Amino acid sequence: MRGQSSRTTSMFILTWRRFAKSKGGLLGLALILLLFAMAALAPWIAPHPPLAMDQKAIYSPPNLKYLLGTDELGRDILSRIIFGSRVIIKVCFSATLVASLVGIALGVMAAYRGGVIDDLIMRFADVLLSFPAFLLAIALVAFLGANVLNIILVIALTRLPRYARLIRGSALSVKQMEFVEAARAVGAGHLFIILRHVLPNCLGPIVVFSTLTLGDSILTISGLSFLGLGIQPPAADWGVMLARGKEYLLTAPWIAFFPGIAIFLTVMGFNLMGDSFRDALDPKSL
Amino acid sequence: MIKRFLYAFPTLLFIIFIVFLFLHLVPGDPAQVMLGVGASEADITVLREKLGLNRPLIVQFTRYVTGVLRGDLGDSFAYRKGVAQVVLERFPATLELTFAAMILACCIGIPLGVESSLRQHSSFDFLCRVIALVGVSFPVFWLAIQLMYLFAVILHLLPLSGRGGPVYTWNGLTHIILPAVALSSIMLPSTMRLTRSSMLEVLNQEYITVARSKGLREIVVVYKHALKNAVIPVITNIGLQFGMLLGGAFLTEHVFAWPGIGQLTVNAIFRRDFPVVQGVILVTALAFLVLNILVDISYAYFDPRVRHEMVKNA
Amino acid sequence: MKNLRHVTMVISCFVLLGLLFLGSPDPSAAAKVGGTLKIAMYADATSLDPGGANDIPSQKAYNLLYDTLLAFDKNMQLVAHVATAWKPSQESKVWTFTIREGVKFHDGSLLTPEDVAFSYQRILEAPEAASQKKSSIAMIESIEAKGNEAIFKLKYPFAPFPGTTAQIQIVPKKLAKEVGNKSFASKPVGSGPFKFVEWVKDDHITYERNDQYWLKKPNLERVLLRPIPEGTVRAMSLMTGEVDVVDQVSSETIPRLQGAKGVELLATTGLNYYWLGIRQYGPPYNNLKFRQMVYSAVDMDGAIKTIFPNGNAVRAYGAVPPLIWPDDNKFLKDNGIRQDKAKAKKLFEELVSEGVMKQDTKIIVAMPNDPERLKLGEILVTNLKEIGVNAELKVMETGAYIDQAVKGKEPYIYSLFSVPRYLDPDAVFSWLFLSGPNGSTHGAKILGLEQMDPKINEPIEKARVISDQAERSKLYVALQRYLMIDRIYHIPAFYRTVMVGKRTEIQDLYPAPNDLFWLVTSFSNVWLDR
Repeated sequence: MRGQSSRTTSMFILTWRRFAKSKGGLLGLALILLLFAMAALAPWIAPHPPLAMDQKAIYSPPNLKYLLGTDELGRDILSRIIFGSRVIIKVCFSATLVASLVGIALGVMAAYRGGVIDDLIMRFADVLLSFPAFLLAIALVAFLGANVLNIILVIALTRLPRYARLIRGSALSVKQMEFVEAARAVGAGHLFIILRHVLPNCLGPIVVFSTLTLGDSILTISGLSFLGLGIQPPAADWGVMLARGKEYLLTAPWIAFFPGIAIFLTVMGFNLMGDSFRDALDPKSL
Repeated sequence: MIKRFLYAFPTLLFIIFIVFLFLHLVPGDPAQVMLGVGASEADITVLREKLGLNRPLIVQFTRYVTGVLRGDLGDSFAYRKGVAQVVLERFPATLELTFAAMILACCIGIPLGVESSLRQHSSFDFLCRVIALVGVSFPVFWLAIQLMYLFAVILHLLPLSGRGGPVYTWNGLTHIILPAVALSSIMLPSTMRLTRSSMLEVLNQEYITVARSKGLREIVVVYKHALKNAVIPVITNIGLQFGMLLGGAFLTEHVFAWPGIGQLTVNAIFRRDFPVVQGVILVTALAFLVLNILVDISYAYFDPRVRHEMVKNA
Repeated sequence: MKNLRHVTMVISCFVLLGLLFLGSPDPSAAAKVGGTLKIAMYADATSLDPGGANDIPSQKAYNLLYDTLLAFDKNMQLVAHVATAWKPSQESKVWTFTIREGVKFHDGSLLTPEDVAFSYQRILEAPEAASQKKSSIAMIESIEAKGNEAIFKLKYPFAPFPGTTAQIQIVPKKLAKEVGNKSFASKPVGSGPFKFVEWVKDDHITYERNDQYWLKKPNLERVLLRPIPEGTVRAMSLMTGEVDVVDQVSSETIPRLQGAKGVELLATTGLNYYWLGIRQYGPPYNNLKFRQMVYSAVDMDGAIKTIFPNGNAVRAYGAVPPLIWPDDNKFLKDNGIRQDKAKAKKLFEELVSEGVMKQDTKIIVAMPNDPERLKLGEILVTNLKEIGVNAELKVMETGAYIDQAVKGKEPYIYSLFSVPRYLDPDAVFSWLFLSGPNGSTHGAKILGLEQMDPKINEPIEKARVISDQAERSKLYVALQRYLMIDRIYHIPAFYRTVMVGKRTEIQDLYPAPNDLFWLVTSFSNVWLDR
């Protein structure tokens, strides 16, 4: 089966080349790498501890000591933004990972078992898709409690139906192909076929959808925080900072402004990447 | 096709059941919340009895479902009025806002998408993409407050919040502009992008070449012939997104004090007003389901291949 | 001779005219009649039927439609309103109110003692009636309408009873019975200064002037109440003039509003009391030394400065809000625990060595989801961490928070606020601390004071039945000292100042300590100078 793997590899290389041609995509990638760098190097590059309150300097505008100003409890905004990147990565990537894994598993099951199981899973996906995502998020978090685990679960829950649909479609089409019959005749197990053929086939849409999910989950979290249902204080999280900061938009606008920019740049980064991936995978756009 | 229809009903029932189960197993006693902290145990018990909260879940659920089939969604805990009435009172406001946002997204998104498709890979194309993505990358409430501050406080051009009346009045019109702009930012990028890719596909078709060779002016070719066909997937996408927006546009409504379903739902969740939350979820799920089916049907109508496939599978 | 008479007459005419002008009122100070007052509230009302809801926005909204037996003056002293006189008998077990003649409801019918009796009965009987109102008049046995009097027979002698009447609105018996509660709620009729016009949910409530108002003719023609949930948006609306009055000015917007053209901020002492409570449901929270440690660790003054940098809160040393007697703050301040990090640390070490708690025992500070108490919680957690305690902040959504506080049995540190239901120390202490054979009040339950402490119950019950204010005052002072200094169940935090924002053209508006809208009162009649 070596021929298959080299086909997959060359597909990767080709896609990557196309992706690299797009200015937007590279910009997006740069932004995301910046995010990771911030998160990894946080303890070393943050000028102040994110929870330290300086009572004498509450609501100070950006100055030399506090480069982006301080918030309502005298905490340094720049440091909180830097540490906030960790929370973002933790929650968003976990949620996307859970959504994709569970979605893929469900989609494969639906495609391979077919029949009743297929119907059941697809109905389940339909049900999940019928709920307006944000409403579901609010309801679940409001009732079950606003902690990190619940937020991850809620975001994953709202995104996994589409993963399931994607994989199922791809798996169904692969199932019918001739080489699969051949592989089966040779004795290849289902899992092998899934990994070798099904996944590479729909890798493209998966990647695109994942990057969009990442961006979307940041907005969902900040929306939840706006309603008081997101990550809880005093944790340094961009959504919380934005939500608290909205009270001070008239008197100390920097409290909400900088986290807003941080969210904006990160979401933009994910969206740009997703966009460019989509273009790179779609031969018609060239 | 028929299978799809048939599946809709158990799906709906399942949705209702999940929502019902969920809302009732959650911490927070609605009777307690309604009566406040100072309430006595005796009163809470009496109210629970009156609201039917002490009966077994199955009984409560059956009552609820039979009610729904009759059009009775129960009574709101907070407002002591029928849920259907409470929701319907606010429906027009949300509908107005959603439509306005949709129209804005189309008026800006479609032309930009068309122009980008004509100037593929140019700086204009890139710029358009960035602009579109900008809107969707900001948290909508942040964008809303910035818009408010600029247009209402600094420029004194537009009113700040609230709904000034039905949209066909001058007051209503000025009040809907800012929230519609804020909300449209969510739909703009996908509309634009979809128009662009759809136009690209259409422009490569033979009949376009034919039209050009006939000597028709470029504008006519593009807008009359190409766009007409390209806009189909865009419309269906808008249909889907519309359903999403109908789900509430909570944050926009909250910030702009827009008297719609979004605000109602958020308040209901915090007040533990189960019937209202259930009612809204039910209505929106129903709308989604119907929309999905309609979209599927329209795909079949427009794309003969899909139609063929559907017939084969039915 | 004729000329002299002529001149005298002319001069006297002029003098007379001059006197007339001097004697007449200055026209520039006259209130202008007419206009619409637009008020922004932080949330919409849920019902305009006083028996239908007791949340604060609803109260503010229906307060304009109805009257009560007694009302408050500028200094929150009880004054006659619909009742012209009131007197106790049988040692405060029976109260007789004389009902004013000639008060008309909006539909033209006369207000009689029958309506009074009905209104109270209605609250006592219907469980939907926000039970809070009900429990504040739960001591009523029966009400009788006799002639022009309403006679209240209580279950036990209760000196503070008149204060409770300021909260119960009078509704027309005949109309309410005729149309039923649901209909009445959608077209409410009262006797108050304004009549109901329309209510578009979540958008606005419109009122118009009641020309037949018995107290005085309201200057305002119309009133518009608009719910605007976002504090920043409310402030901006006031700045642009889109609304005239904003209640609940959020502290964060104060500096901006202070500098804004055409905007004025009014402040008055509030009737609320915020505190940190330590639930007694388990160790180490039920250990006195632990509570002393927490009190010594928390920098309450600093916290108030941080949370209310614009000075709209006053440090509390006791549970009795300003405007209510007795005022023992000086003693409580001087003899209460001060912030002392070293002492707190020492107490912590003692607790650990005595085995009451371990070095790493997790201490939970639970807060509801509102910005001020969140900050208080964060500061407390940080203060505790500074002395080595493993403190953690737990935030809950407000509905769940209250639910948990009332029903749960876990110990933790919490924060709540209370507004006394009537202006009497009895309302403060009984709600917060009374536990009894009839079940504890919520305050006591939340604290975990299930076992009756006679030192708390006896003074409260005794003070209810005696009428001599000096005597009662002595009892309450002793009780408060016991609670705050000896037992430290509460760590008093602050009393929030009531802040109202208004446009400068609005005249004669007094901010109400009980958070209601005082548009037409015995001492004021709001008018618009434009």
